Amino acid sequence: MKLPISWLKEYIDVSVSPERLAELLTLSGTAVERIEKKGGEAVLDIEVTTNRPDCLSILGLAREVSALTGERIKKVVSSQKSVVSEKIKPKSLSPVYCPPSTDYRFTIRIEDKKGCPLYTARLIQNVTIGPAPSTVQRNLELVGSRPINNVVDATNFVLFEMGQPLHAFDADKIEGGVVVARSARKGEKFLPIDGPELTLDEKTLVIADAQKVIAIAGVMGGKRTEVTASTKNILLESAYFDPARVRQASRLAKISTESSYRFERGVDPSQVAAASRRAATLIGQWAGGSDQGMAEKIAGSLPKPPRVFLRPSRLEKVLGQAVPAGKILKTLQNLGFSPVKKSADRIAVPGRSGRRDIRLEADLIEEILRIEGFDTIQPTIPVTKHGLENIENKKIKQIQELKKYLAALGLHEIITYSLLPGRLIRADLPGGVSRLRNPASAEQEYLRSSLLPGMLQTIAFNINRKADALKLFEIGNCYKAEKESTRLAMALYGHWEKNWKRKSEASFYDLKGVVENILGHLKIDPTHWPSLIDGKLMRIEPTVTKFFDIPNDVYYFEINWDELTNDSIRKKLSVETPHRFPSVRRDIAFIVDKGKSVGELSILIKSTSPYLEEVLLLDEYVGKNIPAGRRSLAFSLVYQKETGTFTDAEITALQNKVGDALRASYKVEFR
Amino acid sequence: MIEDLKKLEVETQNDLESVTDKKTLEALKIKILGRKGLFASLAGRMGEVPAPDKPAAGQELNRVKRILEESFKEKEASFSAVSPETKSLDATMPGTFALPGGIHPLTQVTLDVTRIFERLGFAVVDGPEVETEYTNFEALNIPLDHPSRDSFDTFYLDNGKLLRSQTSTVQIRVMEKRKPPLKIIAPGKVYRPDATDATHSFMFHQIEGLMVDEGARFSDLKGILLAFANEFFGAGTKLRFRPHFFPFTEPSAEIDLWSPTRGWLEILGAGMVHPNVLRGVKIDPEKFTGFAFGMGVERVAMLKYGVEDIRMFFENDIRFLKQF
Repeated sequence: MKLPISWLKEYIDVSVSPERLAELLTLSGTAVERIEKKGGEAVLDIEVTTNRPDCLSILGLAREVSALTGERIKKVVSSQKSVVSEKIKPKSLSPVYCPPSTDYRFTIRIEDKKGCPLYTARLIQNVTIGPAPSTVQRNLELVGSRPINNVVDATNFVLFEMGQPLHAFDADKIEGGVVVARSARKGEKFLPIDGPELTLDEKTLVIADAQKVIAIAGVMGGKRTEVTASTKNILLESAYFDPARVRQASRLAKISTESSYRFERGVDPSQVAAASRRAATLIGQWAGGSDQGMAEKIAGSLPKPPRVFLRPSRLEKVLGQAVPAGKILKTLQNLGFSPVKKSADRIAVPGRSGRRDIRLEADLIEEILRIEGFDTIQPTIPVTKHGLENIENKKIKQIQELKKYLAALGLHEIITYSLLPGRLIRADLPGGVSRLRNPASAEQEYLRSSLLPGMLQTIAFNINRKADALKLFEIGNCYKAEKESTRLAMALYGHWEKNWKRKSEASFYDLKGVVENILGHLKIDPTHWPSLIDGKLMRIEPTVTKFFDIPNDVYYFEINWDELTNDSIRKKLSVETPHRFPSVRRDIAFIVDKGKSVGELSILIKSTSPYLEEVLLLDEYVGKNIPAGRRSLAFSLVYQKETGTFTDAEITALQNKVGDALRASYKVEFR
Repeated sequence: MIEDLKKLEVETQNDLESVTDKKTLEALKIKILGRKGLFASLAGRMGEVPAPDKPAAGQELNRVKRILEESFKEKEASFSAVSPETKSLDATMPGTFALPGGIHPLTQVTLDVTRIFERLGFAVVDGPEVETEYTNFEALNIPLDHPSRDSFDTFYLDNGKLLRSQTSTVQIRVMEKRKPPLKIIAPGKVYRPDATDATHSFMFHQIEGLMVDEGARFSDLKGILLAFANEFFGAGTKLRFRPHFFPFTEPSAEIDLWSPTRGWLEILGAGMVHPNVLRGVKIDPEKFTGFAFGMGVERVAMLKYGVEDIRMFFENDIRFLKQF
């Protein structure tokens, strides 16, 4: 909403500078975003919050200024007398509007009583269409409205002045002498003043004549009944339309106007007739013609804000600071309310039809606070009370800790979009299964079910920028089968180590090492490791890396976070006293079929003796002197006895048992 | 005499500091403690000292000698601990231990912010990103078909659920399960179908705080946020509270931070929890009051680190990430 200071001054004296006024308004809730200078005129650009439609007019803002500065509002509007008295009030059952000494008969018919509880029509005859006075045109330009002609400008002027949208129809183009407020019929066509022809349906509330739609109620009038240079007679509409219906119609038609903007937020029904009268006066002054009076039809119930009670004690309790009752009363009066002090701690505030946002005591407390100024409240620090229950979320803490740990291990955290473009949805790539109903663009079509697409995109993005080594991780939520879960992903690409001493390409085993490292860090019982790693650790298929233009292998691990935080897999911490007697280490090397895994070999070796404390792979060798399909493996075995040291003979016997077992089960060949 | 001794002590200590090899050390030792060294020449002047001052001068002579001898001994030992091999190493060659990675700047800011609130007694909690219409709107007093929903445009899934458009949903989830006193801080992702540009993103992060208790006041909200701002942005940070409108709080405020170069910058939304919200989760608004506040993590991070384009946070350019 634009507020030209010069226009404002027509209704209230303003002694402060535009900058100071802007500050006052901002600090009381009508935020001034900037002060524009238009041809030497200061215009405040105000962000009016959706709860304050009363501030969408110059007079409404004048009331705010009055409450802030104590200046009185000048009686400009209400002193205007209508040209003719408004005695023509048709009976509500057959509201036929027959202005005296005319041939016109208009029936106002309201079919949708909820959508249009109040409708008024006024006939003004023999106008002369021409430009509005230049001062008026100037004012309209300052608030961002294009001057059109004296009649349309009068309706727009009143819209900005009082906040009540009006519409002027060419009375001679309304067919059949009826004005109907009804739902559009399915498929009904309508050509608005601006824009292409629309096809409506019953969701849209319209104004129609006997034949066709002449306006989308509260949004825009139609081309057919538009006021043109040749218009002589005018039917002036002023009404109250249901905010939700106007909003719906505006969204469906994709037309937003100054009118719909105000109806959506709720206009003041008590101003409907007054605005019509005001516009008639202005049209009389600017375009001549004779006002034949107004017909009013009340069909449905109008919003009536309730009476609210305010307890000064409650205000103090909520704000932490008291405001004297006298001051409360004065502030409310300045805001246009009529508060009554019922008792020492009870102020009755009757509802005001222009302020439908005031429904609860809390709303009044805010009114007092915003006029007093938020800065008047002295800050305090509350006492913390805790329940017995621990509310803290362990998962968040664990994730925070793990992020720091992974960073220390050399990985960088990334955060990628949870929404994926359709082009990343591929059969060979987990990612998007849940499509959004209303994606805003093709880039945000699917809710991710895996962190992999985002990870590969990030790797490709960095390769394009010459990165040759990437160690990345992400912890984020994914959505699959109607279930949301937090997942952890890690990826390695390019060098694992690259310095003047050592160079190595990242491998499957480097990533496995990272995974084992964090499993250890998370104190997960090693017996659970294989199930947590197998199948979740992978080299990404070359077809997939190629799709992302990633030239080399990507090693990737992804797991559902809940699997890692399950308490049942956590190591029970019970300390064992380190062995008193020294352990004995023996190495063993053999050639075995490639198909035999180190895992199964280790289990077999370990099963040969209760004294085997540790079985560790030392080396793998494939190549020269090793038959194809086989490999040489070397293990280090550590023996430990609780009751004493081993003799050589004992150790040899134990080693032989290992050898026998390996030979028997796997046909190994010792070196 | 005493002054000269003190001077010699200080100068010798300074010289010792800068010695890096054994040879120089040897030469320095001869210069100071040698038979014809500086110390010996000072000791030779003992005779010139008047009789009454002699005991004091003698004491000082002994003290300085002891200290200098100890200092040389220590320095010599420090050299002999370094093996001859070390001395032949080029210590300027880079170390070979892998450099650390890093946590994302948005995580960093989130941690910094939540840590401050934790110290003020708030517990960190979270909630799902896929939410119901009820939790995201109705429970927060945002009516259907009302313009106040415009600022909360929302992504919907085919199953009728939606991607939460604000972390205030966590308030509802916590209050539905637990009774006051409550002090929580809830960081997380939120989604709004905004066109993406330098300052808008369809996905961003928020941190939401809530306190509900008997006697929680607006002045407490001010105090808590002021304490936070002073710790996070630095002591003496100036905040400005402005009335605003949020459907889920009443009174509502927007909070601006003063920047000497850019003026008032909006950083927080806050307010007293709306009685309808409390009633909706079966907390008696007559007995309990509460306040809530929320901030955009990207916005705070951009302000704090001088990042100019919000998209940089989600591109994950490693050259960008490495700076944090």
